[in-house]
Amino acid sequence: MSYADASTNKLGLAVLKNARYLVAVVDKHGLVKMLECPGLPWCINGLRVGRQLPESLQAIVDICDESTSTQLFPYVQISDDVHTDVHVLSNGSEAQLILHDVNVAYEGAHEFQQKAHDVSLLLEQQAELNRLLEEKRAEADAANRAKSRFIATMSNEFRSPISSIMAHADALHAERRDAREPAAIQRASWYLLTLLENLLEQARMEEDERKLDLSNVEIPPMLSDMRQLFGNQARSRGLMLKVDNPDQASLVRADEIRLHQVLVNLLSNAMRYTHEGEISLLCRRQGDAIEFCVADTGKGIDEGDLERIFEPFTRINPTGEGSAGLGLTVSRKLVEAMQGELTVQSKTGDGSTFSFSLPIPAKDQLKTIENLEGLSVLLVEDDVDVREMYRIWMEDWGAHVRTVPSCDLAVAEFENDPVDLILTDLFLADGNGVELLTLLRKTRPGLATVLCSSSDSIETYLGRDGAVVDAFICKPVSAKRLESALQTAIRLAKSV
Amino acid sequence: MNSFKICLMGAFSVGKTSLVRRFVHEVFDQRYTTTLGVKIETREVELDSGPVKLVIWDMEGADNGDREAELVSSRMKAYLKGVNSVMLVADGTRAVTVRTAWRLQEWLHREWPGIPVVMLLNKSDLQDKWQPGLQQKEESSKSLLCFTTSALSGENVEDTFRHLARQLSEKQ
Repeated sequence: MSYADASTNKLGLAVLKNARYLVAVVDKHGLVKMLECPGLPWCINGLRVGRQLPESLQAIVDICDESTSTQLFPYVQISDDVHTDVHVLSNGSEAQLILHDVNVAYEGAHEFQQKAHDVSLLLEQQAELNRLLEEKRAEADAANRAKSRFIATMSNEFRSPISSIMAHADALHAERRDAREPAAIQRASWYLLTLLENLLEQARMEEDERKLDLSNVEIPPMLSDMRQLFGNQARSRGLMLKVDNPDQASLVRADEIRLHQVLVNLLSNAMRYTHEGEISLLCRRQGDAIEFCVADTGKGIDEGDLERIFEPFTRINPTGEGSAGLGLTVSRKLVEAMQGELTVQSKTGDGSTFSFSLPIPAKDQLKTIENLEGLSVLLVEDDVDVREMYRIWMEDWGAHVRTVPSCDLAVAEFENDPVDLILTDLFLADGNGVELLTLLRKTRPGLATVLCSSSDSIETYLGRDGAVVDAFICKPVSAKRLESALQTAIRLAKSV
Repeated sequence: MNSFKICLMGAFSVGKTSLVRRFVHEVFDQRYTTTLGVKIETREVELDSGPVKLVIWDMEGADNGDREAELVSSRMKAYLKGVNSVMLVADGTRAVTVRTAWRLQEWLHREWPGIPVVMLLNKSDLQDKWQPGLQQKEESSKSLLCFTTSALSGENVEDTFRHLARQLSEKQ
């Protein structure tokens, strides 16, 4: 049926309105020669017999080859609201176009695609935001690491002079047991060291590195230190300080400085938040462990804050004096690192009790005491105060000590008269201690070696030469720790 | 009058339709309506050598899928029949669309060797949100002529189409 026929026939018009395609025949110049079913609602404006094909359709016809099969161009937008599949069959002199109405299918697919693209754009934006967030986080982490490195470096720098102060205060105290000044310097130094170690420990936690120097720590001197350190402060504030060791516990397996640090932190906290009553440090045996409890009669902690107090830089009472908010965070991490767990029990208005347990040394961890009497030692240390202090200690134990400030002089001294043990600092003006020990060990394989440093990250320097170090000791060095390191080195050197 | 078929390809929502509307009708619509299938527009351009007709096929967006069928659908392959040149369009604010454009370029190089291809980094009006260094990187690319355009402001749109028209005219 032609358009002319259908348009004058009511039945024909009804059929055309329901038809879903039209057919057009055009000559090689694009002139429409014939239309079938052209009266549809989506029919294209301008598509009339005797007229030129609309440009969009002409563009399609122009690119079609002569072919015996139709060429399909799906979903062609002919006008704002008309979408068709265009089929073209061309024989060179004329082309036949079949336009298949796809509006219904198009609408559904278009709506789906529009939503899919909207969602995709949102997801892209989300991904971009996540990327930016990740970038910012990486920047913040880098800045935090830089800050931590700075704190660690500065703390290490502080260790040497504090070490020297503590060592000389120890010596003064040994000479004048009844004098108050050396004891005061000792206590202040320990307190300063604890603050420093807290900072350093926090920096280490952020750098995710922590080194422990586990040894068998004597409990009575540690408790005595605490009594001395906090006794006066408690008295001056009208508080009672009880330090009790009912089971006469003698040894615990711990890092001495870290254990000292934890106890100072807990007692400082108790002192800070207790205004009347008493503070107690109780040490007792619990099976194969030693339990330490620090209790106070202060105002206690709300239940909701019991975990929050272990977060860094958190101060439940912002008016608390002299607190950086690091003590409990660091203490919990340190106790965990020493295989314990720091817990708290508290109720508002009813005081607080902080407890942790550490193991008693196993039998094979109890060392035989090596005699240092007559031991010949070459001490290489460029800090004159520290060097003198070590010399005095070692001579007190009966060792024969020669001291030099540099690597070159150490080599010359050793060649001149070999010794049983070398104690050297890691960083020296003309080289590093590890290289020195490596060199001297080659000369004398049975030589006992001790490396000392204010930095506890020595792996970088040890490298493959780690085996040349029998014992490592991190500053600040106490007489007891030095003695222990010397004995370890002698024992290891003997066993080779 | 010479007539050249130019296909616009690229990821969805990079501004292909907006570029065509800017070039053909000198209008811009902020609303985003996705293109499904193809829309064909024409415009005559007066060159020194005489007028030419550009028949512009504004194609639906390519998906950045892993498979070729996702990148270039069978519909898109049909639309490319008889093409004289391809404009690859990317959105400078979305790195993923630049990657899609480069993948399309590789595909065209393989399937339509010798076809002139230019890259349009669109949305230059949002240059402060572009990926850092993107423009320099694309412009320094020796394998593809790159234009920075904005359908919103019209920046470079006319020049880019004219440049391509001249290139096609000279080539003929």
